[in-house]
Amino acid sequence: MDDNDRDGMMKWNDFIYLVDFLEASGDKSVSLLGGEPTLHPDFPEYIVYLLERGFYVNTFTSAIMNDKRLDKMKHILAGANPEMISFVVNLNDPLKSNYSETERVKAFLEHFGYVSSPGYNMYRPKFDMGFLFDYVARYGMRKHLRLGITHPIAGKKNAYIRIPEINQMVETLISYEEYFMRYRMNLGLDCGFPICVFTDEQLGKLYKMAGGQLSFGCGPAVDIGPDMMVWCCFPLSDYHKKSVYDFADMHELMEFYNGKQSGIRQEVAGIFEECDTCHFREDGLCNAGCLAHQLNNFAGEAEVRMEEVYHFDA
Amino acid sequence: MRHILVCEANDDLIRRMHGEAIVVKTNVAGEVGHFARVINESNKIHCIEYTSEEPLAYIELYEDWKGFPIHVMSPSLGKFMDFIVKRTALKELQVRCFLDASVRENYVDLQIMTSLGIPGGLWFKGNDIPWSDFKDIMAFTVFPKVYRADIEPFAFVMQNFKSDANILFPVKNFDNPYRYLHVDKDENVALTSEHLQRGEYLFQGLEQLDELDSSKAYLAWKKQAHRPFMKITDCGSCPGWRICGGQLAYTLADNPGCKKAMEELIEAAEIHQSTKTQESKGVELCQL
Repeated sequence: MDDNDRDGMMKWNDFIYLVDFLEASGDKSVSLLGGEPTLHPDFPEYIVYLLERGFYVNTFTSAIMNDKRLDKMKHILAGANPEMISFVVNLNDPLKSNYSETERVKAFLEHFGYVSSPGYNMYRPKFDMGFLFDYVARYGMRKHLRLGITHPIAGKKNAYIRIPEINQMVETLISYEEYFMRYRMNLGLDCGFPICVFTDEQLGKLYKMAGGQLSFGCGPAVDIGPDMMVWCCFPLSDYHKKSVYDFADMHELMEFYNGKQSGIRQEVAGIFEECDTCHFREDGLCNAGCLAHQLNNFAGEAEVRMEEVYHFDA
Repeated sequence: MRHILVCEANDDLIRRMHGEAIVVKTNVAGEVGHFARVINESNKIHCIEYTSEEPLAYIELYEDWKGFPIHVMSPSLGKFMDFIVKRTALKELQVRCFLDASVRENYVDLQIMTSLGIPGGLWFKGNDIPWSDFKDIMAFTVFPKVYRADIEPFAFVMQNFKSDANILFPVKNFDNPYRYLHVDKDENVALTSEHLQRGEYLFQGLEQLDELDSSKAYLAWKKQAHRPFMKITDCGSCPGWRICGGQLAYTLADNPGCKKAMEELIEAAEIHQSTKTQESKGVELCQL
């Protein structure tokens, strides 16, 4: 395979190293994300390679791609086992999106809807996600919604849901309970939600919406870049960045980032002051919100705390 | 040790070589199975070397290749998806696939191929070997994180390396007169394929193989084989001689990186061997 002229993109030999790295760690599933992973010229080939190695492959995509790329994917993935492959399509409200982009998404879902589930990022306290249910019904998508909340990116400035806005956001989310029930759709909450932002009544509804699978965690969701650098998770993408070659396997890598995270939690327990004495946190039921919020508390201060708190690479 | 005989695909010649270990070279895919059977009638098949001008993904495969040691020499892998279509058949036939070592892309393709269970190797066809890629794939092969099929010549070196003896890995055309001799249809026997082409024969007649060790021409070659040590340059000062025996000297004019690469290969073999020794020792038991 010719990897020339692919600066900034994952190369085959690095990719094979990572597949070996995961397999050696006993991990047989992988998520491909970006940027936009489908922009990689060999993206479908990478999926086939992973399938041939016996991996379950999940891809996070905007599903916006030109006809040539879509045709190549259709052709190459035609025989792929649907039980070993999935796409999480990050969808935007079509009424607020560019027409041609929406058409591209529809073209993708026409073909890959049956192996796709919707994904949505809450970036404002009030939002409309009725269109997601329409997409699921129309394109036969898998009935599982991955719901993320935009977090601050530690060390950088970005738009995200502020802590005082979280309750409003939760109210908006719970107002869709009826939709979830009617469409028999399950909700999968991304990390970073503290349990106390939900009332008991909301928790009851959330339990049903999530099909009984609730978690209020925040832990390493490790990303590995095309340059073989590794980081804890997207909001902490500039925090203690390391080379993947520094680790023998995934267990060692997770141990490293778990250690760093617990270091921060020594300094500040959670996103609210009440987190300090919260028994849900102490009992491990809740991780007290996204660490990026905590780290932002220390931005700009004199470096008087543990080293873990300040180590940014950007 | 009796030499292995290398010859072109010729029924009559093969039948005349009774009880020998034989390598047959052919460019016709459809002939491979036939010759494998002919050799097995009264000889021992060492391997059939099928050379194709087509990339591996586009060569024709035949069911009657099954069970025979077959080396396929290809210039490249071909398109990934076309290779994937062939992958199961290649694996079932247990074919060993060699790709041109002078083409950089082939080093990645060998990683793909062997990580999917197809054994392969470097085919030292051209003179300009990208030695940095050679060293990368060596590390990939010798210290794997997970199982993968062998890549030659590394697998051979790892398997046969001895700290106190020379081993010569097969580089190209089975040109290694310590182990192989080349024979044409008229039973002319030569040291290498090039000697055979130039008409420089050791002798004529297969019956003379029994007296090889007293053959003047062969003894003269043996003496001459150590001539590089008369000079301190190139092979004469190369620690890699132990595994290469000067076989890669032909690459020196175009790219003089073989010395460093061979040194690293020996180092890797030593580490590999010591790891194996440690593993085989296991846990020391208390004798009290």
